[in-house]
Amino acid sequence: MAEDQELVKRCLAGDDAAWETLLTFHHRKIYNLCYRFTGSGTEAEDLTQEVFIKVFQTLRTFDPLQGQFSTWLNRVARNHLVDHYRKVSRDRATASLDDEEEGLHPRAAPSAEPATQVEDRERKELLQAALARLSPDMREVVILRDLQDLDYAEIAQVLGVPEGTVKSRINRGRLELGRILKRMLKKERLE
Amino acid sequence: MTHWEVSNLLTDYSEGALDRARAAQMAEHLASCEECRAMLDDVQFALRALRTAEDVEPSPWLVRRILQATTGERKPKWVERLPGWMQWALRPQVVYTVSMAVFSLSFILYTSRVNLQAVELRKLNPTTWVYRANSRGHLLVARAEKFYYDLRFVYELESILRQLKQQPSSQPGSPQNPQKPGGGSSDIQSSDVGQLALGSTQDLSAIQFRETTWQRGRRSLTP
Repeated sequence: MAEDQELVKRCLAGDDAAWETLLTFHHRKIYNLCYRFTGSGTEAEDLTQEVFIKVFQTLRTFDPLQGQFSTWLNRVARNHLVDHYRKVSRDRATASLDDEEEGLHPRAAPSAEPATQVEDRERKELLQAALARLSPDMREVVILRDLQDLDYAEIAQVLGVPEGTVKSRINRGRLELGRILKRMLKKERLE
Repeated sequence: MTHWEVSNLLTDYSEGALDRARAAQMAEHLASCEECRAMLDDVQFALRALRTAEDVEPSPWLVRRILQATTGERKPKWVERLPGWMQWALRPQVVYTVSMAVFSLSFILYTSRVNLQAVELRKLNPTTWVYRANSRGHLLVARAEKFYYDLRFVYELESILRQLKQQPSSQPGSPQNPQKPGGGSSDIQSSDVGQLALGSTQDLSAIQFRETTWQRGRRSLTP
């Protein structure tokens, strides 16, 4: 947005108030992105702080001609999250889940009941747990598309992959997420 | 349409992003393939769950924390500080102190005869100020003292005159001086006159005393 670019210009000119405005405007999105990746409020806050420190230090590298500030910010955040995961070695492959759990097919007949249950029960925790079980590649596209409302082109720009890859990952990510959620609900019902 | 093709188009189909022909092919396949229907249901279930997800609120001090880590604590501009200053300045203690300071300054300026419209360097000399304030202050005190003594003298004079007026009328009928039956009036009269004379002497001495006080007051006015 033009407002963001103006704020960035003022930040680069040493205007602290502009930085505060920029931070106030974007910190919630980045915090949510971090929270969806980590599932922990404290960890998400630490990561958000680290992301904004990085943004503050590299603000000069932002080029308005190459895209919006929010896309650039998301890219910085995403790269930081990937680095973080590499560091703590918490990546999990979806395949491992499949080994642990029972076979995915055949599926039960479509029903609206589980969705209502998700809404009624502790939705947040359940969704967060399901997201944590997704592989990082799929998790990030699902979060960026369905929770951060980025379009395919923006996601492609943030991740540095072709749009086709983004679509494919989203497709697989949603499918996998739906399966995990249903499985978790089924398991809880049995317990 | 194959299972693989359908699985790749599930998202587009769910979002209504497929063209009519492709969507019809998908619907046809889904109607006959339970496995693909189950996959579509999984995708739609995930979408419903994601769309109902609410944003998580960060702690209120997160912004402050990041600001401290980046720019440090920013000093607010004077416009942002103004409400705080006003709150401080309108406290009764401050208002009273400022009023007293203004009053004291005005008093000093008045007593030292400093004309703010025509200030001269010579007049701003603290020695001149002190000298003038001192003499003017003394004059003010002396005037106030004189006024006080004048007023006191007038009141005392009035009270003495009132006493003198009241005494002759109260003497004859006074129960303290009953008339003796069968004469002796000359004795009584002489004693009355004597008492009156005694009273008058006392009053006169009082007047003299008060006059002396008044004169002393006047003398104090003389520089």
